[in-house]
Amino acid sequence: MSEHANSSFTRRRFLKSSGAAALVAGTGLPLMHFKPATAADAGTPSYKLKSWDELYRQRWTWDTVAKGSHGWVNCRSACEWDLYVKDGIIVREEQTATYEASEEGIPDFNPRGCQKGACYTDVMYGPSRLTVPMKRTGPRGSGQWEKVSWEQAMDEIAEKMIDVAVEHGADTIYQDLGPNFDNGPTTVARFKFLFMSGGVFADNWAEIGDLNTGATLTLGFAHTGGSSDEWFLSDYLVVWMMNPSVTQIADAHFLYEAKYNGSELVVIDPQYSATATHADQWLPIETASDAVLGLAVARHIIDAGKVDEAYVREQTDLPLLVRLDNGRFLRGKDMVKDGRSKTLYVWDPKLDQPVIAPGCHGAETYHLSSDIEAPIEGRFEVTTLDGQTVHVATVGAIMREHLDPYTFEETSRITGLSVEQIKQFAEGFANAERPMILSSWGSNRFLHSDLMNRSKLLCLMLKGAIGKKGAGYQATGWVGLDGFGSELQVEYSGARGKIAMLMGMLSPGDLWDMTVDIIRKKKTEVQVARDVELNYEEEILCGTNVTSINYQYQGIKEDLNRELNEHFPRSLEDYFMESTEKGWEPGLPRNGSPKIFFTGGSNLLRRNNLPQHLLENMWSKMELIVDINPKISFTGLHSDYLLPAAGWYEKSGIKYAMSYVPYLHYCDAAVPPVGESKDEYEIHWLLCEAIQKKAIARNLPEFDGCGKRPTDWKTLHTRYSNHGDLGQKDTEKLADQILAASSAAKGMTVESLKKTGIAKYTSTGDNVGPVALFNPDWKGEGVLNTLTQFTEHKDRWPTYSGRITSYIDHEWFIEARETFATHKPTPKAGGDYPFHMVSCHSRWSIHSTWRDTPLLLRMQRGEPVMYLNPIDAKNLGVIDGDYGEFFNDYYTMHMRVKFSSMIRPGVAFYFHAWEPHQFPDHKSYKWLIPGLIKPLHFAGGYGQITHSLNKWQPGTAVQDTRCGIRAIDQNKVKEMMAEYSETPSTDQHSA
Amino acid sequence: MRYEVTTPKRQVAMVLDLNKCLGCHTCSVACKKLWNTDSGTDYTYWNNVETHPGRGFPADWQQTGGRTATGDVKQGKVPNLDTEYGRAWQFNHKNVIATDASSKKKDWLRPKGDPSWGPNWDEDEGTGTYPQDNHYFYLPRLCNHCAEPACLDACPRKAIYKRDEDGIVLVNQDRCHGYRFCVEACPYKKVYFDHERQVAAKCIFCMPRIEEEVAPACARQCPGRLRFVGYRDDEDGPIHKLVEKYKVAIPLHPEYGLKPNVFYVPPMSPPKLDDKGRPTGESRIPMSYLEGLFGKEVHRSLEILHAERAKKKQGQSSELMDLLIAYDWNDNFKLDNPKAREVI
Repeated sequence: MSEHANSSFTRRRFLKSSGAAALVAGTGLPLMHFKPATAADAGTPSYKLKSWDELYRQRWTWDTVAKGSHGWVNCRSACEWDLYVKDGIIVREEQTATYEASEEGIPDFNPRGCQKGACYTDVMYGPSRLTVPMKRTGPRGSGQWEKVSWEQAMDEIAEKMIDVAVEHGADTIYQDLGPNFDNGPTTVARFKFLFMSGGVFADNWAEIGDLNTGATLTLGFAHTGGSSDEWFLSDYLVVWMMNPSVTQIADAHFLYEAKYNGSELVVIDPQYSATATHADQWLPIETASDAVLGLAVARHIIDAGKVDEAYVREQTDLPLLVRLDNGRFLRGKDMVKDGRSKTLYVWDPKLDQPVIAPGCHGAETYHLSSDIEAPIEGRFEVTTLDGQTVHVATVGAIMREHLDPYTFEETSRITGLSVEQIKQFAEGFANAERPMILSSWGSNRFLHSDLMNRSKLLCLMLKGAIGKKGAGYQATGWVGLDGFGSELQVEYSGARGKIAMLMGMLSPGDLWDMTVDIIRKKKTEVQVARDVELNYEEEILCGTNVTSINYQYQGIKEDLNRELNEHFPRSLEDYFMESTEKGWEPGLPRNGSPKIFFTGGSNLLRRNNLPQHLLENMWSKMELIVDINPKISFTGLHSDYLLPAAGWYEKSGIKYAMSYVPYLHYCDAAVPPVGESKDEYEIHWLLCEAIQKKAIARNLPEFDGCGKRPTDWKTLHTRYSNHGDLGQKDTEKLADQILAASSAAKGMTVESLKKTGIAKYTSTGDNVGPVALFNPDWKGEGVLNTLTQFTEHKDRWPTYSGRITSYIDHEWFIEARETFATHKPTPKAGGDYPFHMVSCHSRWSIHSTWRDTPLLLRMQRGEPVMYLNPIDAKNLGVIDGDYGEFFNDYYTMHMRVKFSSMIRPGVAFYFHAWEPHQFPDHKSYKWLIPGLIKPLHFAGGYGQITHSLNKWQPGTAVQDTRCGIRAIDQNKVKEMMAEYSETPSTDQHSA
Repeated sequence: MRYEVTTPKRQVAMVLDLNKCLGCHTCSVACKKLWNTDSGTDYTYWNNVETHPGRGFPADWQQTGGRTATGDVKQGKVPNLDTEYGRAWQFNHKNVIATDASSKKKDWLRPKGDPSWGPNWDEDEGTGTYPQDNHYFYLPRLCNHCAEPACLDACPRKAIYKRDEDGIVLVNQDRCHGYRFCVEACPYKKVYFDHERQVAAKCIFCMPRIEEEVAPACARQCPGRLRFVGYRDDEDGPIHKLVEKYKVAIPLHPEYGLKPNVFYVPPMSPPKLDDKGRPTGESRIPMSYLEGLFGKEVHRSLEILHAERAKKKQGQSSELMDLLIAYDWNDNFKLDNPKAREVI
């Protein structure tokens, strides 16, 4: 057994700082004026309480303290906690608060944390905690279960997996990635099992509406942003589609401290959010009209002469030449024999002719710096290869025309903001030295969110703010913990495993080419590594996305095609078919809808749109559904096996490596797993063992995985366990291996982290993947700013043109008139009803975790609520606290109503992630939301527009949904609900 | 009755900067997890955060109590457990999650007893007309550890006292007979009744922590970094600077006459818009409302804040702004207590 708490922390009182902790640990002096229990009498607790005040003092004592974090929760912060253990129970948690200020003159990160982290113990020991393995005995969702042994569960699951894989192929195994996700043994185990068994990774980043496709289109990656103390350095902070007071609790203070430091704080939000209450300017913008405002600001920056020309010339696509006859870039194939289509041009005023644009694919080097004074605005004539004279213009020149309609007056008309307020905002932005836009994951949930985010990024690129310290775009970046990626692929521990892994990724020819590229300095090592990464995704990884799978098999095609009919030149299905034909769409699993579903990192049935169709069409075809989870979730209630996973304080874990706080956060096992639960590393170890045993006994032939590389289940456990090096209980050993293989975690070990809980990252990692920070110079000192790889080292951006992109000449984008960021109205999804249903991440939960925790429910209304403006509510005749009826073309559901003056009239607002079983008839607002798919997001074959995990994939937009609202008789509704409940579940399973 | 309260040797105090409050309730949860998890106190929140304007917790607490002009304690009332405090709702997880074949009805997860009030019932409601002047802000509250506590005067058992070493107001629960006069008398409604042990229970300013120079859980666990803790007589400490030197931190309801030792930096707010959506020079939160909470001093306090921030905007230095920024979070708490040292 692993050691569950650090024994040096025995029954001591609280310490103010880590320095004091070290001192006291060294001398062994108790810091209190009453006697502690000594080690000798620790087993015989004393009940002597002399008086009432001793009773209180007694409450603030403990046996041991361990370091913990909330490793597996998908919260965009990381906070380290002291876990106080008394009599084998963790009684409470309190922040360690030992972070340091990044630089002189910047506030420190302490104490971090939030009300949820302060009571995870209530979840851990709470009423929906799963503690024993269970097997369903009635139909799925009937609530009928029997307790089974781990042996029985593993045996039956292994048997079923083999049977189904033999019939449908290994790629019928399906797991949606997260959003519950750590960088420790838990997730490595889940992924390694899937990777080695040949199953399909279905990314849901876009499906849940969190993927910033606007950023991918512009920058080449969706996730960008540095440490949250960088906010403090901006002189013009624009919180645009984000609510840090609610969703970024540990970091929000930097905004308000920046304000005290003299920065202007602007909040753009249709709701008067908790963040807006602290703003200097609150812009109550019409829902989904944000792109217009961005375009108006961009227009103003240009007209006011505030463009950073040197930056724009070097870093962006504004000087690139575009043919005016077809709207396509002027390309190598237009200009020279055998010219490449990826070779793009700028105008060289000295030579008075087009020259190859620095940094593009056809250029000599991948470097952006150049002596060419290429104009940003200009129109020229060019003679092409075939002798034709074509008119070309710079992207900058076409853009200025494109922006022309977006005057303050026009913007006022569409956004509902006054000209004065728009002007004040635009002038402030244009005049700022370090403008910064905070745009959260929630900014990606409209059909046209990409256009909105492209318009925000346009404002920043014109100001030269992207990749500049204290300015730019803050949309969440990650420190690259490369050990996480490698440990889930290796089959041997140590260097042997890593070399074998790399050899497996590349052919000898590729290896040779890349070496030559580095020697000739055509590419840097990082650029080569990025190519390897792309190659890996194409050739090895069985990756797809949840949206594509749902679109094909959920039974929503007809609805979605109808919803989008008038909004794009062609039908959604037409785009999908073309994407499939051209191989842009991954097309996995190859044999129809997935038959085996492993869940636990997420709560699919809770979060999916129109789950009624999912249950009817996809769920019923699943032959095996296993939920590995510490919590009994709505998805779990509809599964076949519930396997109790250890909670975060019960296993070794590494919180995912957000850049907001540039420290690695370790979670120790403070107590043994509750009940019969086991950590995910052990669970998958046992499952691999059971599968391998059966595979050998049945002499199972190799599967071909997803068609990319074979998998032999007769060696599954051998490979999972690194050829026996990792034993059943070696979770901490695996954590150590992850750390050892991570360049950002130099010198960190589990042993040292058990004492400190946190350690500052030593670099930003390999700076390769789509979530990298691209600051190769940061080595653990100073504010963690990002993207200097491009702005300072002048590497090309990972986009089609190698530059920050405002113009996209992909044929689909030209056809749909989305070459530039533009404004398109939000469609009325669900039908033409008066209320716009809008959601935000919750203050009170991280998705569905904590959503049903009594301690926190008591600090809300105890049940899900829909927020309405009191004026709307009055017109509807709805009373605060009553159940209201919410309906559209898809469904009619009921939930309680709450009034708030923060809500924009015409908006029905909810904080997300309630479990469906918290609603009458177990039907949530999700039953009303179609989740629109933007057809252009099926596009591929164009640099950054290539299907990729965490980067580019179709998603579902929930925020365009409309609904109607009715008041109902409260007595009737309660009777009615009871009747609804008596109708049998539609969830019939054939097996 | 009015007891003679001798001035304590030292007075520990707290300042809360409302311009940094997130409304996240980490303070309330931290407090609750540490002190009030038992069945008799499960409905109590020694620390709570309420949305203002609003009814607060317990509902309408501002409408009762205080001292008369002559200094006598007014008779307040004991709030109703269901309609003003809100009972600690029990839930039906078992019925919902683990139904069996015999139960036909699928109940949904909800509090038992159809509650009508709770500790944060009117969260984010606020008031005003969107978008011109709708507004709200968060007000975290705890016991004020008053210099002239009404609860103390109200106790016929003389069970309530003010500690000499730090001025923390405590209920001696060995003396308390559970009459609840203190609950009635406190105009801030920060004394509760423990239904299990049948005694009064209130915020102890984390007395065991203070004894070891550790800030109260509500303050130390606050991710908004808006709380300052220290002794009022410590001229180098944050309390003295904010309360006495810069006079930006002011007590809640000074007119109650209890002389609180918890102070607030009042909230700034974005400008109101006129009927054409143009920003005006007026803050969203009406000054009259703030005056109702903090008295006339609130005008001066906000003026100082705006003036000092303007200095920073112009690139000048401001000790006050630097203090509120809290560059080094550890400086928010200054609890060196020579007396405590002697005990060790």
